[in-house]
Amino acid sequence: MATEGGNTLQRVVSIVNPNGFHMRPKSAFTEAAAKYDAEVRVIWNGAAYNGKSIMELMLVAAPEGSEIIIEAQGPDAQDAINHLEKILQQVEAA
Amino acid sequence: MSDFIFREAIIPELKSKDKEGVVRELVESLSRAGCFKESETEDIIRAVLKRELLGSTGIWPGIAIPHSKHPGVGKLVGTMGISSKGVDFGSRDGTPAFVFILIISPVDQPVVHLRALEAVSRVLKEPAYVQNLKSAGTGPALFELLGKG
Repeated sequence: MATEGGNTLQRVVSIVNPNGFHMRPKSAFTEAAAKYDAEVRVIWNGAAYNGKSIMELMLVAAPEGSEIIIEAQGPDAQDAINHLEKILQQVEAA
Repeated sequence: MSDFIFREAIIPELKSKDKEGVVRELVESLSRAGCFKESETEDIIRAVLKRELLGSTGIWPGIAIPHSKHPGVGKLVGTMGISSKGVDFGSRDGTPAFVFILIISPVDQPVVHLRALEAVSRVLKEPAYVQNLKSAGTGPALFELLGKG
């Protein structure tokens, strides 16, 4: 569910991939995030990471069943957050 | 990182000039260090290369983290190799990779795998640390640096 404060949107997303939020979905996430003007952050364990930086997202070791928050701020924040949530909902082989 | 990087498997100067060769050198080095049965070596090489086909693990400038899960290992194992000349690893930014960290983890331990990648990433995001790795020159010097990472 998204919450809105100004033009900042947040959405809590559960990690459904049995391998957790691993390198390939992280790559897909950052590549997708880069297509939007909105600033994108991933919040996990109380820390915020740049959602357009694979280097930063590699520090998010979120396992299956855990939750992360996607935060987007900018004119296309809604589209960005919808797209990025879909990427996290994809389950793929290791 | 020194928790799972095998000191005796570190390669301070890789001989290989291409991705397959680098993966082969690193996996064979882990095999010689006794990290898994020798008979598993070729299958682990194939698994790592198969993973690379899904997208290069050369995700940062100058660094690649080839990895795979495999039933042939009972615990997380890893090694490191340096190529002073650099190797085309199909990296995101199109530049050669110089520092290679190979990680093989058991198939049933995804959290261990994630945390290993996190640990590696935490130290390799520091450019000065990566530069120190590239210039360390010997296996023992590299292992000592890993302990400081």
